[in-house]
Amino acid sequence: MPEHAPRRTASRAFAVLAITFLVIFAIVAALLGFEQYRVLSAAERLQAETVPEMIRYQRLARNLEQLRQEGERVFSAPNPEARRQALFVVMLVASHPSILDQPRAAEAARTAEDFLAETVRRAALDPDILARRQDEWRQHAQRISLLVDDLTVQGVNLATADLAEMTDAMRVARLKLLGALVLVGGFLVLMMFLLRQYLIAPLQRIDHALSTMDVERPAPGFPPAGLAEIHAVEEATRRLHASQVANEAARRELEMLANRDGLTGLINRRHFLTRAEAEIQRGERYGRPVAIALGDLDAFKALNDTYGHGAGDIVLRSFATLLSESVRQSDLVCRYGGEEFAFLFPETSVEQAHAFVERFRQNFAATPIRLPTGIDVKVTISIGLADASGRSVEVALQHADFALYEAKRLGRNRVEIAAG
Amino acid sequence: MAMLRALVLLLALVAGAAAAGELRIAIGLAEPAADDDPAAPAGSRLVAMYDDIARELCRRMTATCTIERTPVAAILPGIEQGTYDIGFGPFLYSPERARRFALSDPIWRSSSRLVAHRGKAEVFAARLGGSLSLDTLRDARVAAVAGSAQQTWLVGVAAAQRLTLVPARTAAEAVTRLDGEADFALLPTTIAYDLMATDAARHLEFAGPPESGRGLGGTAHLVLRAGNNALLSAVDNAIAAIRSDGTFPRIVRQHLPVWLD
Repeated sequence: MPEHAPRRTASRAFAVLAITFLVIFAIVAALLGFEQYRVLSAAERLQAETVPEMIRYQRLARNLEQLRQEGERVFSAPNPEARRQALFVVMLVASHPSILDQPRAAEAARTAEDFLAETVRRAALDPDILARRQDEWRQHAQRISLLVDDLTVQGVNLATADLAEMTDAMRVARLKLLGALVLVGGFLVLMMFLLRQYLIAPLQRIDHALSTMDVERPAPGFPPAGLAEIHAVEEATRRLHASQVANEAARRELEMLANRDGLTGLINRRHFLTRAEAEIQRGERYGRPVAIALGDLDAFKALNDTYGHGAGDIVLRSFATLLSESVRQSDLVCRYGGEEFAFLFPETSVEQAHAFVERFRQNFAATPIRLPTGIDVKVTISIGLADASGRSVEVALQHADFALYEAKRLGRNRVEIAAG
Repeated sequence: MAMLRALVLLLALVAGAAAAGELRIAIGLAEPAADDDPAAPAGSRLVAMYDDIARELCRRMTATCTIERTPVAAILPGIEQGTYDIGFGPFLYSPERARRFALSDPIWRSSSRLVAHRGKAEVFAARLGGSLSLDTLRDARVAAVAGSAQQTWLVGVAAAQRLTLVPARTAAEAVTRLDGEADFALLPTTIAYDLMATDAARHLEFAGPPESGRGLGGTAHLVLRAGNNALLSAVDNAIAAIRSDGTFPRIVRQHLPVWLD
């Protein structure tokens, strides 16, 4: 998504998705419900109307068939009484409401009854009439048989129509159900894709950014977010990183201010003592030599008195600059107080340290320092050196201080090594 | 609580058993003598069939029944007075009956037909100048059972068709009226058939076409006292049961050569 593109809120986006899903689901449910209604309607119609109607047709066909059989019995009866009984049954069947309710059946039954009644009446006088009217009766009987066949087929066809509608509805319902399943499945896949694309993946990126956030690393970068909330969290993550970087810079600044001497930029006495103690303990732990020294600028009070405190400050800063440029990265130097400086040389024996401080003393003594008045002055330094191995820093400094006192006593601008 | 529920259930069962326990059933006679003389053939087949169906219904309702044979005209008043629980006419449906009584599900279907002495129909047809039917019948004396649907219809058309109504207590009595008092008897076809299918009734025949409309045919029902819904439901269930397992058509075919439904 382009950075400038408008973002949607998650609640609105998911509400739109949910409403869309609900609408689609409701439409599908309604479509399925319609087919279900068709099936139920057809089944109810089959049960309440069609089946009773089929039974009615069946009964009608059965009664007509009985009427035909009893008509046959009129002709085959062995005597007039049996003929009369058969005719009675014909009349009884022809009087049944199932036949009277159906116009074609009623007409056929009425005609057959009249014909048979006439036949029986005439047969009482002339028995040979039966044989003469037999063919005509066969036509009546055939007409009734055809009607029975028609009614039977009509009754069966009634159910066929309902069953066909039910089958059609079920087939359509099955297709709709299949379509609904595909639709719902597709929608779920789309939902999962959108959730992953716009919610899960951005949250995972934010989680990774937060869990690996460090002031030493660059600010976390995120691809453009589609959702406003995700974008807000990403922005907050970036601000958090920026804040951490600023805090770290401030912390370092404060640490530097707390540990450094404001005039010379060297570490101060408190920080020196802390780190020196740690270095001495490390040297002791690994059996490595550590040397310590105290230096004091010679005749510094006189310099101040002569050229002013500003000149003294320039001398102190020049000394610190030269010292910083001369010592190793691992060596510690601090402004111990006034014009007094302390040195710690890890991994260094007293002899090695002596060589260094002696060289530095000579170098410093030979380096002119220009004052604001344009006058160049040369300042010397007296240094007391002691072995710090196996000692506390206070004791080691005490030894170095004794050596410094000795250097001052022996004429200044010299390095003295503490005994023992 | 459980004991209370059990007590209520027990009371309901006892009440139900009491409701269906003893039933008095009235079966309509076509011939008054049939009950006293088992050998009398007129109308006896239908009565025997009613009897079998009534006993089967009682068995399905697990009820003890007292079956009494009585003239049809006495059944409906007996139901209203509480003398009988179920009236087995059976009775054709009519709105008036449906208002006064509880009617069971249809037990079968029926129609009505004129009965006359042999030759009488031809005489009237000749006099009427065409075929004889209930619509064309004029200037005739017609017998019908008192309180029957046939009598009700006759009363309605008597004036317009110049018909003289001859009342009878039973169908057999209506047939007897044909010996001089009536020209025709209008009867339910099945009952008429049962009365005519004997040697003694050789002189009788159906006259004109059958009629199932105009309140003279249609569904026939058992009659119960209005409001007795529990018994009505039990009777309907019993009718459905004997229909569905084939008992009903077997009983009918045992007594009649035709189906009635």
